[in-house]
Amino acid sequence: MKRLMAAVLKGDTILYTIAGVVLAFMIVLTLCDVILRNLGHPITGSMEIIQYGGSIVFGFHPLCHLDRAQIVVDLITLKLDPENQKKVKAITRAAGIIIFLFIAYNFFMYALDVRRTGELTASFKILTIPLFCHFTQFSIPKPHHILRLDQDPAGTKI
Amino acid sequence: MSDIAVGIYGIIVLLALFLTGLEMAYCMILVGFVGFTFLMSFSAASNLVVKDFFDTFTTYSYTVIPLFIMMGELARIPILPRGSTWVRTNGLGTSPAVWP
Repeated sequence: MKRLMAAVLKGDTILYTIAGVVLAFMIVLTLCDVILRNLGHPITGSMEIIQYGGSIVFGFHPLCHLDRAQIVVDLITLKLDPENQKKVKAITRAAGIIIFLFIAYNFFMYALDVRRTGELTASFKILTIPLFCHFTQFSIPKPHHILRLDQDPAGTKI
Repeated sequence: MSDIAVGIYGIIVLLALFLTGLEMAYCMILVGFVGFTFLMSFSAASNLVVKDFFDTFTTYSYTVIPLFIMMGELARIPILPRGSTWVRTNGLGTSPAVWP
């Protein structure tokens, strides 16, 4: 279990780093675009690049799942005893997994449609299928959805 | 049941779901999906989930997020705090009424 956890953490850190690099690139691109736009030479297709970059940044967020960094209202659940807290967490985790499995399935079906129609982006004429594949992969529940089921956000056992 | 009634029930269910400890984003996805299924159809709601996800994550409006991060980084390094301290001490005075 420890080895699996370490492997998942390593993989997530790599994705987190990629997202950080893409975010930094988006900052530079937006800055250059704003400056050049004022000088009368806007960067062609900057909007598309930002859209692609945004999807990468949002998609590579498994570390967020692992750290339980999402916003949760735990006013009531914290008042329960540890055993019941564990049960509630298991149920909510299972609900989250089911929701994301459903979204992943729909993304997959949509990606098949997009592949069939050969949808392209407006400026660069890039196929949009990689975006949908990316969204499909990030919607599929991964080990970090299930791991730390019995732990609080700080990683300590409850 | 009218659309408005469905909306009101949806909000009540959403607030109840928030208290269960389920992540807020998941609650909103769930309630939105069920509500749209109730009003339209299951296949329409399935398509809407995908379209909404895609449109939300690839919107150009998020350009401001990297810029906010850059602004935060600029505020973190000592140039801006030093500048604001300078303004506070030299520019706008040191009156406790203005700068508690």
